[in-house]
Amino acid sequence: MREDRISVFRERLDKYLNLGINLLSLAIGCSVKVDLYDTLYPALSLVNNEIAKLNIEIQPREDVAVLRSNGDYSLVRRIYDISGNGVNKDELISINPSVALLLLQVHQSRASSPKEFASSIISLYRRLGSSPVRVRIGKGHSIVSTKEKAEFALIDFIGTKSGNEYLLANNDTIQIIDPTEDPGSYRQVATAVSNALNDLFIKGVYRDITIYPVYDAPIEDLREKLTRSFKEFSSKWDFQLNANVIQPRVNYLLMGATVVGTLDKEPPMFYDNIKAGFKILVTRSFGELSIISTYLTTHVDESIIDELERNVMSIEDLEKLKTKIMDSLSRPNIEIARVISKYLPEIGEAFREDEHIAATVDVSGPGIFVFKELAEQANVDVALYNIPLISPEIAKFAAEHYIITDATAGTNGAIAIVASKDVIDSLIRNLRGIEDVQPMVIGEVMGRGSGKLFVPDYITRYITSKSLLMKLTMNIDVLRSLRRQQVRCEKVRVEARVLGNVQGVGFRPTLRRQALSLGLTGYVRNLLDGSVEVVAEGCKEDVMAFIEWIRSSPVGSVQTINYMIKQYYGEFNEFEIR
Amino acid sequence: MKVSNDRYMLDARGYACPYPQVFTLKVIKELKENSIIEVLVDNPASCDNVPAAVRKLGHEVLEVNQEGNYWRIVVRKR
Repeated sequence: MREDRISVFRERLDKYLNLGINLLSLAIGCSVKVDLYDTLYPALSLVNNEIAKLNIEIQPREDVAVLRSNGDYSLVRRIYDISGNGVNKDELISINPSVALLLLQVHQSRASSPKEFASSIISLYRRLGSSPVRVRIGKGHSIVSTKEKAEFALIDFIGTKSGNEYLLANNDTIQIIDPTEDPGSYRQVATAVSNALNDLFIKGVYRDITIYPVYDAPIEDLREKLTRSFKEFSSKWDFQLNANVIQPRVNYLLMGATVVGTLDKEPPMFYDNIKAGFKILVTRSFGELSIISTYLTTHVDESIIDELERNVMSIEDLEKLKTKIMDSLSRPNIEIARVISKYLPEIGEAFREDEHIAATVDVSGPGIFVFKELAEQANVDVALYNIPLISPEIAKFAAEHYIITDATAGTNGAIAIVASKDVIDSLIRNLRGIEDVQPMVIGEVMGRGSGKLFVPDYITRYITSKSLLMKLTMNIDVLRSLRRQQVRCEKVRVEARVLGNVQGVGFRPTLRRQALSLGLTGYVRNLLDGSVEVVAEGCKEDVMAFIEWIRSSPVGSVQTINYMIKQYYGEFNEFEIR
Repeated sequence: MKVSNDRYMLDARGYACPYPQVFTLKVIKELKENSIIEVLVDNPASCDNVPAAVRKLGHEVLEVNQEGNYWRIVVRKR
């Protein structure tokens, strides 16, 4: 039985290897993205000053692009290389976009540090930002490929005229959800598109939805199979499909969509109205990826099956659970959108806390991190008292075995809603009965603040990476330049000596990566007495977070760290290893 | 792959997270104590996860060095 399962999987791997696809080189679920907190956000901070001089605008972090519209819009798709060769000023003037949705696929070597990533993207931004037309990037999405020569920048330029409703647009893609299933199968495509749609649904959009597929494959047969799955999904759920848009064709498996829909209410983005006592509701438990990843890993290393069966559940039960999840992931959450829209103000009306939803967020890719981002966006402090996972046992197992670094992550997953207690109580009654929905309150807003998130201590069972945990719970500004309102930053310099087992263990490169991800400049060097000297400059909160991080460094072992906070000099442009 | 007595090499380049750490842990189980294994990874997520995973199991990470487009992680089995 077990041998059968593994041999079927191996046959599938071989079958695809013969077609030039290594299923094990494809990222599953959301791990396909350039790391938001270590790479993408810090990279955008690095190029912030240069972007400010260009005719380009990167809008604050939001799940979806939102435009006032008269209902008519045009969508023009262009595909460039990632340096932006081919961007044509005259064409930009004639397109005159209201917003641009950017999908970047870069080779993983460019995603290894913020500096590397920033230098990769700046040329594209320069080209986009040097025409008389202002290009607003309303939704960006950067993904990694393990294959070289599979890079591209796909931009969907959307143009519309202001009117009496809203147009919302989003782009999301996935490489593969579950390699134990056939790539290109209906469920994989349905999950990928539903995941893109989720960001419209959370804003209450369920009308006039059009899907503009984004897909690629190494072979024609698979590309055709994907095309068929897109058609099947659209007709089954009654969405418009525009299959005539151009596709990347760099022969690397990819599936997803740009999705556009209209909203005749005010979207739930009332961040400044969120206040102490507002509750946080989620529509179901999350952590889908830990289950899919664990199931997949049992096919790669048989000894994991033994451990799983000894400590958690039988492989048959895990398979049943995985199948159930794949079914629910391939269903779009459109019914939730209908309910959300009932709790939104009419166009032009103000937000009222006894009637309306204040904000919503999609708990998919980043899992529990979305609550940290939400706290920062709204400048409030948030406490979660419950982290409902589909299978806490599997999540713990996956984290312990480093199968997944954040076992709360998912795809097309739960939706979180922030509103006053009365509205939440009413919402729960309205959401009950929808398939796959089990609404529950998991936390609340403590009050206006700097964007802190308080989580139960047991979160360490599900997120084993120390640096991830620190980003979640320390007062670090994870969104940085993508925050709606910039936080004040007091610049300081720290000079430190670190004693312990800190030389010859990869300490300096690890420190440099962390410093860059916190937006710090300075240097780290080995001293002759076996200690390490660190000098760092940046915002005080980031500098202090860095010192705390060094104290519990994931490499070597730190006995003591002696440091002094000094006046900021602005001496460095980068963080070097000396 | 055996390089010399008690020194091994695992080339996990081209594999996406989580496979590099899964392969590394699988190989380490087979080795004698004090053996050295060099793991090559090129997936950014794995350059953090491979050292973290082996350290958690009590092995020693001797080196993590970026060499061009990939990382070389040297581990001593304990």
